[in-house]
Amino acid sequence: MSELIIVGSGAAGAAAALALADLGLRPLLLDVGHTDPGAGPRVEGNLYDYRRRHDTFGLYIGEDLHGLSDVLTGETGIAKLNAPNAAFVVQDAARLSPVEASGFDAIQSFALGGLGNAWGAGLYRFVDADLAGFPLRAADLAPYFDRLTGEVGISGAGDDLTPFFGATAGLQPPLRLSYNADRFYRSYAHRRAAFLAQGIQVGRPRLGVLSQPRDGRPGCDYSNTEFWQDAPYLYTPAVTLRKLIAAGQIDYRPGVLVRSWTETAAGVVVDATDAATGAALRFEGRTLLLAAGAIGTSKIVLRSFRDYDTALGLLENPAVQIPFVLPASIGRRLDAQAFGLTQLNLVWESPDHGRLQGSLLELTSPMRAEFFMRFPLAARANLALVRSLLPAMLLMQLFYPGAAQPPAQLSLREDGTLRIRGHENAISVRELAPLLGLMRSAGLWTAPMLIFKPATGHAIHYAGTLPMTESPARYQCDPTGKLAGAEHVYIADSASFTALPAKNMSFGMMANAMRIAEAAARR
Amino acid sequence: MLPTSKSCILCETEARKIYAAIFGGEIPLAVLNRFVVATQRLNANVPPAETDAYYRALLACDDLEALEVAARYTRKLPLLTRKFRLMAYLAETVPETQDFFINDRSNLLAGLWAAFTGGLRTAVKLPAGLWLLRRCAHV
Repeated sequence: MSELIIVGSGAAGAAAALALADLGLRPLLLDVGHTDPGAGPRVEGNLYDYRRRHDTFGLYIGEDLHGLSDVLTGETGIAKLNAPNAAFVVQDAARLSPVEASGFDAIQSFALGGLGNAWGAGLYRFVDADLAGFPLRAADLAPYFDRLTGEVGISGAGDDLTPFFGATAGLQPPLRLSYNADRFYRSYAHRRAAFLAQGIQVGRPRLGVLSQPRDGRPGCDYSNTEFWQDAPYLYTPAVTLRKLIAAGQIDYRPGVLVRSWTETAAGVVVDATDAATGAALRFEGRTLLLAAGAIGTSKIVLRSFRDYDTALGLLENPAVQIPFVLPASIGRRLDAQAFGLTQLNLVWESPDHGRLQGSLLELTSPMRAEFFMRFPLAARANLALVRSLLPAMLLMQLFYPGAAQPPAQLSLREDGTLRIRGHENAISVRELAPLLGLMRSAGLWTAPMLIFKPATGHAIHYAGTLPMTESPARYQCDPTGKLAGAEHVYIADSASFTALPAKNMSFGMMANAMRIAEAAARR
Repeated sequence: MLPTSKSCILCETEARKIYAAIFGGEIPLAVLNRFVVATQRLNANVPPAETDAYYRALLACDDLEALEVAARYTRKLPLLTRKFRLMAYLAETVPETQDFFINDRSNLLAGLWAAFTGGLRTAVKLPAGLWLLRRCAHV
């Protein structure tokens, strides 16, 4: 019998494992655990130098045409998940956990490291305002944020966003800005008073991306390859897990799909199947920590309670994507030496939805063809714009709090299929007028017709199905993450979130997973 | 009418016409071969009536660029725009097309000129495409 069993190896599972390893415990971690076979080509040096010398079909698309998924299916997927090197992240998900979804993009991962293998590595401390409604305060999470900052290696800076992003201790210097981002940031500095008057502040992101070498990992090389291959300067939960496995600090059991648990006087019996053969497996432990992601964890809970009627509320951050053009950069050469993900963040105290958070992204890493038909002109004219206008563009992903729309409804059918009923993204572009006006004054132009509203679920920030409260009722957990109606089961991932702030939840979820793992271990 | 994996002559014609409409000139062999495979995969995901209408239009019209922009604006022949996207993705993977996608030299005037002439080109192609679309619908 194991003392502690963790289910899932994503950001929450890895953080829980780290907390238990720090305590000298050796948890059993059950996981399907797909990994990158590493069969794809590897870019040495800069992406655009490589493209001029090499055929990039294997890098961008792959023999199985994985990189063309959106075109071939006619659906809008997550660009980073369409990269051939990311195929393992969502491998087998439809078979292992079928979902019947409407009005909701439900993306699941059964990879070692989970969806963290394809994240943008935005890691932001929760402050008290983010924890409104939670039965805990930012101070409760602070020691775990500090520990994780040391583990991950986070770059960032003290600036206008420090009150929103929390302490700067232990941060590496921020990454170098791209040409366009630097230009906008200087413009913001000149117009700062006008931005502040509208409740808008801009600053450097907190990223799990090394700007300097550390612990044998290199600093960012600005090669634009982040979308297309494992980048050793970009942290993923698999980094921590591989370290713990190599050191023998966790008992990692891959190839296991957990289905349910039953409680006994001594603890829990976990029923699972071999992910490849379907053969039944059984594990016994004293305490179970569920960290399979809000959707996966909810499925295990519903199945364990044999509940095929209840619908759980599933929170998600609605978002809009706003393409901006810097007119002064039109015709400029492509910034080939850039970091291809978040350059700057923006926080807006909006009149309609409270605090929103935006990420200003460079567009240098995705394929150029991704944008070819997003321009409204004839094909050859669009091609010319890809060449001359795209290097003058930045994209803002603006995230809204989960409360900006009603939660989706998640339930389980007896055949094991999850049913998720979402809502159309109802964010109004008109509400963005004050923001767009200020951005224009700082040199970033857009048009409302170009603003894109992704389907609900597209942000992959799922949370809140089993919220923690001081007095938990059915399908809720207490402040230590213990699930109501179960004596030995804890919810360690974002399923236990009471609310979902507009801020990227990954870092808050990881710190909370460590807190809950410690509480479970103490019991 | 529908191409099958055993008969790809139509797919090759399709590839050459679409490449010429977007990039001009002869399609690189690697792109041609990959398009032939990918286009059949795409066709398999589309209702036969849609592919049939698409191939009829493809064979009947010479100015595919005009046809495509008109189809996009009128939300007709959606498969044509998907095939254009498919070609752009595949073409970007070979070294010989890089100058179409990447600007190596900064030139504000050239950039503004490209945007201006792009608008003009569309202003000419769109009405031509609308006429073609009407004609193709009766093929």
